[in-house]
Amino acid sequence: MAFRKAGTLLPLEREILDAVAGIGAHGIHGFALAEKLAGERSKRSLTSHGTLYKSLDRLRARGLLMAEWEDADDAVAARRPRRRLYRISPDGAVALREAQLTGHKLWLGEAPA
Amino acid sequence: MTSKGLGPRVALAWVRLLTATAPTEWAAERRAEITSDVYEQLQSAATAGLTPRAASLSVAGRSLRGMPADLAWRLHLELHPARRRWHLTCASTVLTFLFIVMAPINLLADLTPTRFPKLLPADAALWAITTLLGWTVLAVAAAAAVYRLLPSAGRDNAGVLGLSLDARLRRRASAALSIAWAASAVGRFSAHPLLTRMSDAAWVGVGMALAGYLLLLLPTLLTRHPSRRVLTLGR
Repeated sequence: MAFRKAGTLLPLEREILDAVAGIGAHGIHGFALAEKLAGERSKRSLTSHGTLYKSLDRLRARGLLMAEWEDADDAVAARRPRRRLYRISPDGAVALREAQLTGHKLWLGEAPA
Repeated sequence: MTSKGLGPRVALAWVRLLTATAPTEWAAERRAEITSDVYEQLQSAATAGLTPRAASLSVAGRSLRGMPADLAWRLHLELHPARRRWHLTCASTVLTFLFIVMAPINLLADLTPTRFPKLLPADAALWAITTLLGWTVLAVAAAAAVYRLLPSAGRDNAGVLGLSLDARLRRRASAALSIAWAASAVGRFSAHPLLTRMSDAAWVGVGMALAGYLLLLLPTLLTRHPSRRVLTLGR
């Protein structure tokens, strides 16, 4: 089990924030985010449901992401289930910038180098 | 949205099971999000020219690979402070869950020496796990009993008060079953005479609690109204 120092980002969380930040104000839904992450990692397999949505929940709880369900009428008009759209919050943008500057890595129970 | 194919059905069934006893709002949001994700993935697969079978397998793969993280998420939900207080006030959910985990391990430990001789070295581990779970059940029950004495406990039981009488009685019966089984398990191989006597008495309690639960369950199973055919399992 990986441990982390409070306030640090796991690699996947950093990738998620990076991907969501790149989308801008329009927001991105979960599957589109999984596709974007797979594309950026040049991997064929998409992030699993459990891993992706647990990470999104965690980032939301920490105030680094904002989530909003799209308008129900839009979903009805498009004949599909409602999408939950994620956007990066101001705190999330700061955390991402700090992570990019300091290059924080996963802390595996030991003090970071 | 199409949920045809085994993959989508597995994914949607799993999220329903995962959120079956979760707080309503959290459960509804997770189910809606997975439903949307599965739909979008199938649409994307169709656009990319994948066969329905390949798309279905991909959906199933994402669901299966994510199950450990899903369980961790669910555990995190249950450890939320408000939820923790609720569990201490209405401990039957936790107790019943622990019973569902403990009972098969206990039964397997019983079977190991005679029917599965190749597993013989494992029976000590199985009994150790059973005993540990048994002590956990008893500790949870004790903590819940102490918590109920606190003045603040009354604010956290609103969810239980909204249940029907038979649902509340079934909760108590399943909690009693769990506690009795745990008491019989922890004292079973003890050298201490008090624990051994407790174990024997608890075994009688197991029978009584099980009979009580089944008697309370029978009217629910026999009733024609679909909304009443629900096993609360301590919820």
